[in-house]
Amino acid sequence: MKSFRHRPVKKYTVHILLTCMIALIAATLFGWGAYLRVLEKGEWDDARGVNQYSRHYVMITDDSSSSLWQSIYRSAAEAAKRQDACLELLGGWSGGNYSLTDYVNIAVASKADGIIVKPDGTARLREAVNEAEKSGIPVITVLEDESDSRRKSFVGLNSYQTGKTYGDQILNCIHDDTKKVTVLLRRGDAGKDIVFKQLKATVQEGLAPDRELAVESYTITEGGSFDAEEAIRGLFHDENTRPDILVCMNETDSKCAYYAMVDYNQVGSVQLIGYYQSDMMVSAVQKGIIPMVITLDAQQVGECCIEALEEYYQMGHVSSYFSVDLNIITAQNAADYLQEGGEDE
Amino acid sequence: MSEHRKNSGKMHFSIRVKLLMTFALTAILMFVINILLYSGINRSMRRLDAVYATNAGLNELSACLEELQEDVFEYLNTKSSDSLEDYYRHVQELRDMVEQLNAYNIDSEMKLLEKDIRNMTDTYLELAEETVQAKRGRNTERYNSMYSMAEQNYEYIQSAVYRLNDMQFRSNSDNYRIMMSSLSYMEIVSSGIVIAAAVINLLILLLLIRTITEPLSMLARSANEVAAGNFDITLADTGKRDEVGVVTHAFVKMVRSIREYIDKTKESMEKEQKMMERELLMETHLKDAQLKYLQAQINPHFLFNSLNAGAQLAMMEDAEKTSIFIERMADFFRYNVRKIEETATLAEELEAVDNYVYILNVRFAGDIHYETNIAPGFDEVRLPSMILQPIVENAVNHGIRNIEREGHIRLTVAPVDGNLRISVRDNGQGMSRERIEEVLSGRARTSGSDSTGIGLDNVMNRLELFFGEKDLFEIESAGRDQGVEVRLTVPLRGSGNAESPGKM
Repeated sequence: MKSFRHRPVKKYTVHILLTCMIALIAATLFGWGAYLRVLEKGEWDDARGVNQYSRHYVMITDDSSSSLWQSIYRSAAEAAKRQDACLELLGGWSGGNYSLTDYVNIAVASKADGIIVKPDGTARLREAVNEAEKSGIPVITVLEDESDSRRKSFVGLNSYQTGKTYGDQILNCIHDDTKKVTVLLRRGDAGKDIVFKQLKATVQEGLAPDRELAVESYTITEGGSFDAEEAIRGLFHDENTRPDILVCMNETDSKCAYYAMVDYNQVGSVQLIGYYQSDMMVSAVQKGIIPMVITLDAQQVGECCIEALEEYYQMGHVSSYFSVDLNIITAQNAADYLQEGGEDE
Repeated sequence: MSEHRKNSGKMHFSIRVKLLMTFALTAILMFVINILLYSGINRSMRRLDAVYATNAGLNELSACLEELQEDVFEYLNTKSSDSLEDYYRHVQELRDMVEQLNAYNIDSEMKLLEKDIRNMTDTYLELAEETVQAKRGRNTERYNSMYSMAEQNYEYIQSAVYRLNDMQFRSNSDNYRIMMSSLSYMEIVSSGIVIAAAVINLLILLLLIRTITEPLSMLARSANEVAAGNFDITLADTGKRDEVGVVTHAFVKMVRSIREYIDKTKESMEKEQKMMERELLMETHLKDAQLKYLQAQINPHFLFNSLNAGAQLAMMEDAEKTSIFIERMADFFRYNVRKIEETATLAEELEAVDNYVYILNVRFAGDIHYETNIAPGFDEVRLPSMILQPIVENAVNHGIRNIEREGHIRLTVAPVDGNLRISVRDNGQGMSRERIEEVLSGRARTSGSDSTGIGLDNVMNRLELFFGEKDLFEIESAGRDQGVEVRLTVPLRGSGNAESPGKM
């Protein structure tokens, strides 16, 4: 007898189908959730995790992109946060055409609670600082002082101490063939003259009486944006003006001098005393291309700025000078700074 | 048709409902996926709008500020009331716009810039107001100085707005990029989901179609088998109560009833065949009997006429006994001749035996003591003719003829177990067991010159054929000189007496 039997749908087929459907629904929901997450991620990064502070300080410098100022800003901002304040680094407005004075004016118009500025030595700035003080906004000058203004305090190096430190380091670099030491100065840098005088005095005191050494300053006049670089290259270009020891007191000058020295193949014959612990300079010290880098403690600078402002708000007055330390980076301790720099950047 | 019904706890759906459910499921699935996709795209578009709304807001603020500055300039220049009116209107507008900006010290460059703009605008508005007031008071020196301060402030604000706009644009570009990447991500995910949904739907459809077509093709195969003449098929019930299930069920029922009908027809045909065979056999035996009869080379009619003539003659000569003898002999032979082809009643058979015994007693001077014990009410029972006479003849010839003592033959007719039992018992020589076997198996030739011509085997065969049963004929003997009893069993029900099987 022939038997016809209907093959029923196998149970596992149904199970597989059901599993597929559930998986599909799960995939849909998961995909949807993931999509929403991706979408939310783009939502106002700015407004995420923001904190509200009771005071608003402004930091003004003409060189806000340099690593020195970035370091100072970072440490100051951290210190400000600890003191329930936020710090704004003003700069780069109007295509970079604004002067420091303009920024001080802007800070005043913005009703900031405090201004930290590196003065450029101009009368307009002095007036702007005075104007800010008149509006009840305390002004702290940093690295350069504007002692004639009504600024509340100055955070920076002691010019005499700086001159002596530089002089001492120059003496360490001098050997028998050294005939000429050139110190690069910026025209606008107030107090640089005192630094240079002290430096020269220290060097001359440290030399034997019959030893002849020319210690000269080379002042860069900032007519245009790239004058410093041209001037430094000019120094290396002409053999008569080429020094045996070149001292820089500015981060940009240090870099320019370093590149010029390398380009003119003067490594070994010109000794460069650099300024500020940029990675490039520290690495050059470590490799022995330059003997040393003199740097100030950027973190200390930033913290002192905020400390000065807080002190003013708490006490109603503040000491007019906060001194910061100079550090000397040589081949012996360069590795520490490289590591620190790596952490900082 | 009911949409579905519950059968032993299992839901049964019609194909129509199944199809509807599948399509509805597909549609719902696709609908939900589409809703998700569209809402996702909408969300993205809204976010995209929001991204550039901030820029647009800043541009409006900038434009308003510009107009305000122009109003101040215009007022200073012309001192027109129109410009003053515009000035106040724009001041209000600007204040409203500035209200939207951040006013808190928040640790975010853009938010701080917003706050700067807000405060600078306040300062600007104060300066502008002082300028306007100074102009009203005609304090030329003051309004000139105120205006220049306001103008400087205006520039600062514009510069700040420009910067904020730039920052926001950059941030928005990032947002835009994220959004575009999320959209492309969405595209991939949704494509994947749609494809997966389509595949699963296809599988469900396939499954459903299989549940519909499988029983159908099974039905078609079994129908083909039936068409080819093979009714011996079993068709498993699909267990479903849908349309196909109903058709399958009907088909199974149809095949079953056709098979039953065929079986019945076959059975009746077989029966008919058997009957024909039996008739043929009977005819053969009849022919045999007739042949035997013809061998007797007696012309019955001449014999009967002669006998009748003899009887009349005896009557005329007053030989009454002779007349009766000849008459009974004539009756016996007439019956013999007439009835050989027909069935007879029990009464007719008994009468034939009576005539025969009378004839023999005349011949053998009353040596045969014949007794009967007939149960009443069975006269009309029909049985093949010339059945009892050969048995009695046998009892005479082989039983009591050659014994010294008185020979007795007793014929008994009595109902036993729903049958009619006819017993012919003699007190003659008896039979050995072997002889009985021989006779019953039909190997023994019993006919002799003194016989009426019909042997026991003929009797047995005709009985069997007539009633369609075996073992209706029994012989029993206790041994030598113990006599013999021949027993016939005549079924009262069945073919023999319920209906006549026809001629013999």
